[in-house]
Amino acid sequence: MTPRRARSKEAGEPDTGVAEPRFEQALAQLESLVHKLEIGELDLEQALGTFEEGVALAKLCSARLEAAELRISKLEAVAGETVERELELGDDE
Amino acid sequence: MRPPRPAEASPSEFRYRPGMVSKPGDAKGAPALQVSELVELLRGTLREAFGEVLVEGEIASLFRSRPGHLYFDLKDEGALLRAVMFRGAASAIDFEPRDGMLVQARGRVDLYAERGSLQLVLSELRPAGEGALRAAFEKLKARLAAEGLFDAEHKRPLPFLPRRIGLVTSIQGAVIHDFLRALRARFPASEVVVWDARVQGEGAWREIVRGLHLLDADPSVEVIVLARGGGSLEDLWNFNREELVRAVFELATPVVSAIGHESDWVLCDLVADARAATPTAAAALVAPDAAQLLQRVDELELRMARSVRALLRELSHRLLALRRGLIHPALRLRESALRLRELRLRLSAAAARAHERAGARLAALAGRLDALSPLAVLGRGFALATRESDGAILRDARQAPAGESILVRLARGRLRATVRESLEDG
Repeated sequence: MTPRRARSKEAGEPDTGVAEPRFEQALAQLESLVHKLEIGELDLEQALGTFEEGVALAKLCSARLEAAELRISKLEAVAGETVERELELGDDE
Repeated sequence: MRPPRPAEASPSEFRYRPGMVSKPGDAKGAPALQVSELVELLRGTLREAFGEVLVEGEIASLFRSRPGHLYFDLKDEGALLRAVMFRGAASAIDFEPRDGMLVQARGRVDLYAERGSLQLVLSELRPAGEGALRAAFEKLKARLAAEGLFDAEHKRPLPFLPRRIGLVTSIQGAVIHDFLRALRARFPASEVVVWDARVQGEGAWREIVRGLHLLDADPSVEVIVLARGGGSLEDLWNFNREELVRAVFELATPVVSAIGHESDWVLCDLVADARAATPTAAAALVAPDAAQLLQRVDELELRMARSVRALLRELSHRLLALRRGLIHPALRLRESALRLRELRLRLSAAAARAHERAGARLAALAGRLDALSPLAVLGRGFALATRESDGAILRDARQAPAGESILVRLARGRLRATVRESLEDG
């Protein structure tokens, strides 16, 4: 009998989409908008709406990609509770 | 009757102190020690002096008792010590101990009171020496493989861009620096949660498993990297520990194993969802290349602008064409009149042709009618006689008795005549 892996994390953790879409979703959506525009079946108003939406998505993606801050924290277990502290690694870079 | 005991302590609390060796039972006037008191004294002394020891030797006279305790001799060429491993510790052994096997044993030195014999009470046992380790490794590997723990069907895809990356490693040493440096170069805006664990030495696997579970419980940690630098099979032994391998298998989060280098494979590598030869390679697996993605986003933006521009250009062309196509109503009227004239011309031409054709046909018909006319017979010399009184055509002589006025029609002209005599044939 083959053991099964728990997969609850993937299944139970869909993107809530509250604040901003996940990067890969935004990118995929941008791709599909570009495709729609390139097919050329939109009227002017639709095309301009699609364009605006696409520009917003592109901005969102770029912002995420251009952010330069690597955030490192250290997980610690203190008296049965786990806490995260910022981790300073001194000589890095 | 019990002899008086040293005033300051009960037997179980006897501790060896310098200068004490010959004192308790030997002091003038002091009573003799009971055997159990002496043994108790010796036990305390042994514990204090040695604490926990790690000892290497060969197994001999191995015996497993019914409840699961393990008894054997641990020996080398010159000496032998009795060893016992109680059920709890014995059940955690991840290989099959046999007589003649070289092992490393961890435990404490103790005195077995009933026999007065020295023994080792062991807490951990593992194969010693590269050969034995290798054999144990192969055996465990085969067993876990048979269970399906390494099967490709259990490998999960790594996230494209994890919200947070869990990292289980020692914060001492180069590995964490290599990983973070590579990650920063690849995707600067990454977020990493580190669990600092010993990555070698006895029991290190327990800390690693703990960290894996804690990181796994955090829903924002979408991939976990387990990293350690290279080393001997013995250095890496913790990563072959069955409990650790099973823990990795059972995590809900995908795991990247970056243990050792190119040539060192441990069971953790086999059970993990992906394996990286170095910490740098692990960083490349868990984060996309931001520079490349940025280029793609730029390109998409460009393509979008290009197609909108093309659409606008096309629309303005169409507008121009439409404007050219617009015609003034008067112009259209004139055009209609012209067309009407043309049609009328064509109609009358057709009518003329039809008329002509009809005329020719009429003449032909008239010819055929002529041939049938009685008048045409007159042309050949016959005559047509009619009674003048009533115009009846005469076919029988008896129709016109003598004295009757008749009219005789010839091919040209008529004769008015009176019948002199009416003659009947034959």
